[in-house]
Amino acid sequence: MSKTKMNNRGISRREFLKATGAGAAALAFGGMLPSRLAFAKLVGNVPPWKFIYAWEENLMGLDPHVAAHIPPFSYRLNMYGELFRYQGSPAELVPWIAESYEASPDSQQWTFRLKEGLKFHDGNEITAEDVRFSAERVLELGKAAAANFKPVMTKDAVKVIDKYTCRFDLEKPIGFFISLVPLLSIVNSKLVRQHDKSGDYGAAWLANNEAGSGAYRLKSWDPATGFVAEQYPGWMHGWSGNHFKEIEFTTIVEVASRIAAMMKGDIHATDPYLPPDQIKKLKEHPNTQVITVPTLRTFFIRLNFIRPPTSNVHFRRALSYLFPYDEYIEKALLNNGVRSKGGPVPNNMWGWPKDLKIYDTDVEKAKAELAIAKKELSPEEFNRPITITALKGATATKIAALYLQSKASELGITMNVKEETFPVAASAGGDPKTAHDIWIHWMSAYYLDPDNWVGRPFSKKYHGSLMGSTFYYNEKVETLLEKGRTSSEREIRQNAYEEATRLIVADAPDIWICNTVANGAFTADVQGWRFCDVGMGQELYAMWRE
Amino acid sequence: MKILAYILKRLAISLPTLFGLILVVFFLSRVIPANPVITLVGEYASPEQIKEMTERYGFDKPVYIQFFQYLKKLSHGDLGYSLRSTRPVMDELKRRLPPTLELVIASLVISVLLGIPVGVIAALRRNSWLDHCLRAFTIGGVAIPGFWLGIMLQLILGLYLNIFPLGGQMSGAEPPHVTGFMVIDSLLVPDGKLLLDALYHLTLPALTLSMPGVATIARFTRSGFLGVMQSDYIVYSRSMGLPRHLIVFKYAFRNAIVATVSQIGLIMGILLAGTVVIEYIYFWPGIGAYMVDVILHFDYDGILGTTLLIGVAFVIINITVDVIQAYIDPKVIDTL
Repeated sequence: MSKTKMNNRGISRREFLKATGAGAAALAFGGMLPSRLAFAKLVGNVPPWKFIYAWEENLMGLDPHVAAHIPPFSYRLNMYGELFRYQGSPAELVPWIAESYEASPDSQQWTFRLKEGLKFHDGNEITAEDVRFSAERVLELGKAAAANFKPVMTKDAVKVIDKYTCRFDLEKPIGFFISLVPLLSIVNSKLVRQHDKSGDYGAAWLANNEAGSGAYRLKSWDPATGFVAEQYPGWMHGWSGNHFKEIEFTTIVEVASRIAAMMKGDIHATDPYLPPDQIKKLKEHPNTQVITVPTLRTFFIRLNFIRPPTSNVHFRRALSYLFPYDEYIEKALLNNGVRSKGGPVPNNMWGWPKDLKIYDTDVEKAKAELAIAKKELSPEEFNRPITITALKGATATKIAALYLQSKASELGITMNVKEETFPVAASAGGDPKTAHDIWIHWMSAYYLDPDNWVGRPFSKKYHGSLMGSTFYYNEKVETLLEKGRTSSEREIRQNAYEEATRLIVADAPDIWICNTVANGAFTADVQGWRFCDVGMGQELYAMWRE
Repeated sequence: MKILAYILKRLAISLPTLFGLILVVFFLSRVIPANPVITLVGEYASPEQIKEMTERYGFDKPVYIQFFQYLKKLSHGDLGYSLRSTRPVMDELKRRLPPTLELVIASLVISVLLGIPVGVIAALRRNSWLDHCLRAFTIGGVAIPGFWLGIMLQLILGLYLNIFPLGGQMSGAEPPHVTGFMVIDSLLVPDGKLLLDALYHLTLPALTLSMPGVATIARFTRSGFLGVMQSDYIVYSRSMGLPRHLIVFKYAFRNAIVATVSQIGLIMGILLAGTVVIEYIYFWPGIGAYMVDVILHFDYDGILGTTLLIGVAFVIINITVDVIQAYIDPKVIDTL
């Protein structure tokens, strides 16, 4: 079949149609597609008055009285206020909504005087009733934010003395109660009550809205992506100087995507606990900066106190001597950690004796301790294979487990390593029957008192929970912890915690590896970051972009 | 009428299937030794607080009682509440379903638009160098893991060449959410800039997700075409001297793609499953990313809600594909 000629140059009809189609397509696309430069303006070109922070975790709501882990501090610190707030590193307690406080001599009554004239975002004045309502609400909801208050007070604990004065009547004396106060976000009681649905304390509403008094007020919220907040003109510290007009907290789960977004400038900050190899990349990239600061977050291996062979103190000490601390910090963490000197207590926190003898890597001492353990345990108990549980998704725990496994195998101890998600691992730790032989996790700073690191993990009261998952018990330690908890005298408390720490270290229920460092990852134009252990530096008021 | 009867029959069969799905997922999620309350009360909770919350949420009751309570809620169209967010699971799914559907539909369109021509060309140029190249491409499409391809495209086209955005659904401004599909909502406004932004954000994730689909469709189309092109009626048409394009597109095409269409149901399944990884990489706010989140935190009602949603989606997809198949090849109706 011959081609149909369209003209004297011999172009077939098909060729003509092809050429026409291609040309039309090119014209259409040429007109539609912006140039590379134009496109660069379309994406990733965030104005300097805006700041975008990406977390790996999806924020599931905005209620400040529900969650208590690190990501929710994004809205707690920026959209809400507390009576007192931790600021800086090392952190100081700074009056925030309150102007002063007074504790009764027995540390059971704590009275707070509020600053007058402070207002919530809707214009309502902050009064003592809001403090009372907030305390009642957090305890009634009973979720993570209540964990620190439930053991010490009931929902009726707060009494309104006058419009600007309230008193916390505790169930028992708590010497460090002021350290817990920054964990209570004060919500606008009038606004929340308006949205109460069948006595839910406005929970359904506050999950998607805010009722705070912080520097920023909610502009938009999408459970699938995050929230945007804008400057609150009535903010108590004012807006002179450099500040962001708008802040956004969003979710990018995949670490490689977060790093790429940082390099491109689509986001300006991400979580300060990136894997060491990613930190290295950001340090080397011209568009990004990494600000390294020591933290009070401890990283350790926990040993089962009631099940052989780790129930034997010599066996535990042997493992403590076996672990290659310096090698692990240098090679696995790429020096993103500082060797723990205070045992369970962070290096920069009081409550540990300065002459404390910690376990350094010493294979000979490990062998000697193991020899004693072998005599004290039956052959079945001594030779029982041990399982180390690492946390899924937390590479540092897996590598620490492998280091310990490797060193233990050199001395003939059989260890298996398994990985579990955090909820599974934490649930198992609540029951003596299912408790892990050995497991590994971190302890973050939620309130800055030695009680955070020794009061809970080593008190019998917490057996059956994540904190008490080793089932550690020492009567003398229990007495000392109670003394430290109830006394209002700093000296008495310090002595009690130091002595308790000494006894705990001798019992070796944990292998304390290091205090982690936070690597604040920002784009190069970000200025004014002030790290604080509580909240991991997510308070953005003092920051700006050049 | 036959088709209608068939659809009704399939729907009736799907009910016990979905019940079985809920049953299995419900008991499996409860068998895993994790207390969801731990996530809820945090690491500082005392044993008393854990116990109190476990009782409040009814997790202390026997599993079969919890199951009947869930079924009771479900019979009223209530998917329960997310443990972590305290929002109704229905609301969580409503927000996240449109982005996932948008991504899956875009990927399916790419799969079909790219896969069928590739398959046809490969069949028509059988054993040529072009066929070998396309074979390598299709094998690669199936073999290359989505997370690797996604990260590579993201780094090369998103970061280094700066042609596409790294992820997300929009750059900032969004059209009012009417359907939840950013492309459609941008058209409804209408706003050309928003539409372009939505399309640019959609391109890389959809392209990454579509690769296994493109490969599968291309392979099936090629194989279908080769079979049909050797059939008697095509040989006869050729001998009659009919133009090649007439033979290919008018006589061969319809019969050759029956097998391909039947694969689309499977491909939809592959695409839905693939969203889990793709949504993670491209921070796409869809069901896939949500599903991983609720599973990791043992958010029971969230797990059951997403499972049920995906189950229903599969049922609908399979029925739709069967109906399309019957439309293309009326003989199929007789086998229904």
